Amino acid sequence: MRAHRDARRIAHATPGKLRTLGMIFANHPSAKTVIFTEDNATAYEVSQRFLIPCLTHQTAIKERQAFLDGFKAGSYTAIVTSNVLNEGVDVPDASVGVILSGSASAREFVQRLGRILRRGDGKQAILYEVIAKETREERVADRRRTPPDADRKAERIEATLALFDSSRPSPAEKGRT
Amino acid sequence: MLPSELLFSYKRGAQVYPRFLRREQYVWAEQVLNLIREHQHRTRGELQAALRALEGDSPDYRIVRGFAHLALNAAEFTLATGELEPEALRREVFALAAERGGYGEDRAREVLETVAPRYRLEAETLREALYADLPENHLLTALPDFTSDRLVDRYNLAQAQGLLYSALYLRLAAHRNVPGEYRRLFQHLKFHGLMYAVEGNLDDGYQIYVDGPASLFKQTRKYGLQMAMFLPALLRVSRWEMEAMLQRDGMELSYRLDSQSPLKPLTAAPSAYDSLLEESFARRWEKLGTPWSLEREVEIVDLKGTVFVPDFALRHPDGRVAHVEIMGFWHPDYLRRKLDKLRRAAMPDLIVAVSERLNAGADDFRDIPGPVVFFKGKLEPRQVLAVLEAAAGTPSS
Repeated sequence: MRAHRDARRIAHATPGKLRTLGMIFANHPSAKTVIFTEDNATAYEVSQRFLIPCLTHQTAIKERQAFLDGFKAGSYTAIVTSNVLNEGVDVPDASVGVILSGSASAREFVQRLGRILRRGDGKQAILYEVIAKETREERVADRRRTPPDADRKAERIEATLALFDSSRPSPAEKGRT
Repeated sequence: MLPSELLFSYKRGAQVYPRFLRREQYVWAEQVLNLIREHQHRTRGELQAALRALEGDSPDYRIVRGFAHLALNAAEFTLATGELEPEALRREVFALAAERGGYGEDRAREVLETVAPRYRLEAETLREALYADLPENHLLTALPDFTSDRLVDRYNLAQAQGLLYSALYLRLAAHRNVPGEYRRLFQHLKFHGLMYAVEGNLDDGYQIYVDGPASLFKQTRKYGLQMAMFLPALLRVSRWEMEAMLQRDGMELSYRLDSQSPLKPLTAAPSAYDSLLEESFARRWEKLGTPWSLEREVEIVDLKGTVFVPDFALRHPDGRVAHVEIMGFWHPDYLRRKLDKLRRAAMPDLIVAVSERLNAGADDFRDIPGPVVFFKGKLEPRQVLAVLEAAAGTPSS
């Protein structure tokens, strides 16, 4: 039941997250952006809202490859994915990452970071984490932000923008280096 | 039939029994069907959410899921977009959005408004159509056409069938039945591609031993399903007993059923052509346009103590008759028994078609009077027709 309640609260928070995502796009109009979501429904919603190619485990291999190639070639500047890109898929170079729902473990978090930065050595990349206030997401995100011995990749985080209020998004910066 | 996680059974000593529904659980059948009816022309996702709400915290949730599974097997879902291909729409819309540069909700809206008129859609309808191909967005278009009582019957039958997925073998006894029923029973054994041995005769009845998937050289789930699919055919025979041996948790368990069981056959007669090999052959035979017609009604050839039932009979308008036996399974013991039968049947008009996967050579068929053809993959009707024409000395025109 707790999972159920949380799911409802998270679903309730989605409109606010999408607005925040719109702001992130506005801040980085031409940056290559990868958006990570925890569930397929959110990934499809982002895709439908902004008309961004979407990769989930349901995406046919051919279409998935076409989207990844298009992203690599620069014909798409953004791509949204549920957990399919967590492991084993080579994500092309990106300079902005957005984690849109955050019940991810510290390991997944670092992995995602590493994925978008892998090809960007010597460059700066930005990872945003958009979290809904007063859900387990917030607690999880807080817990993760103080990892005892973070992976070196985590040190490259330039800024983490957090969403606070779903009614009036006022992104505050919790930057750290 | 139901997936393993929705099957229930219980043990008493070395006996295992399917768990049939208790009367107070029948009510779920009506509720599931009502919910499905309410969701006609709505999406699978909405229906699934409603079904989840129906099961709620009930300990009967797996019964609800079982009913839903069986009812939805008989329903139809279709794409809301008709001829439009969502994948093509996505490609077009995403490419245009990317060309315009910079993502945002307003720009997305502009893109949709540009593209939608080409398909005579509203912008928001186009947005929905982008993912109409996801299973959860499919629309429920055709409802299952049975009552809740029939759904209960199907559920109990599915429980009885489920135990057979892991059968080592089964023994059937059928007696005091009318000859037509026997013929149908043997036909179904064959049509489900089951390997069996028979003892007995028309007067005293038959003892049938059916090899199970667990005793096959190579275990296949497909074979287990065929065995389970055969059960409804057995229910159409008047008097029968069945004992199956199951391998479960490292134990051998016995599972018995007989014609006294409360199980009811499905309203529609089970299809006679469920064995893929034979079904595809029968279909392709029709396309040849030959005067030889393929007949489903085959004779039981009494071999004094056992029977032989050829797969097909071929009949020519001039009165000639030939039979076809397709051998496609790879199992040395089965092959040996089958060869023995073919020798005893000694039917000169029997064409034996042997899969090359069988690892049998021309030598094995030396003392079989009829023609033998070998085939790779699928048996081509042409090969059989060529043999028929060669026998008649009339080359094909």
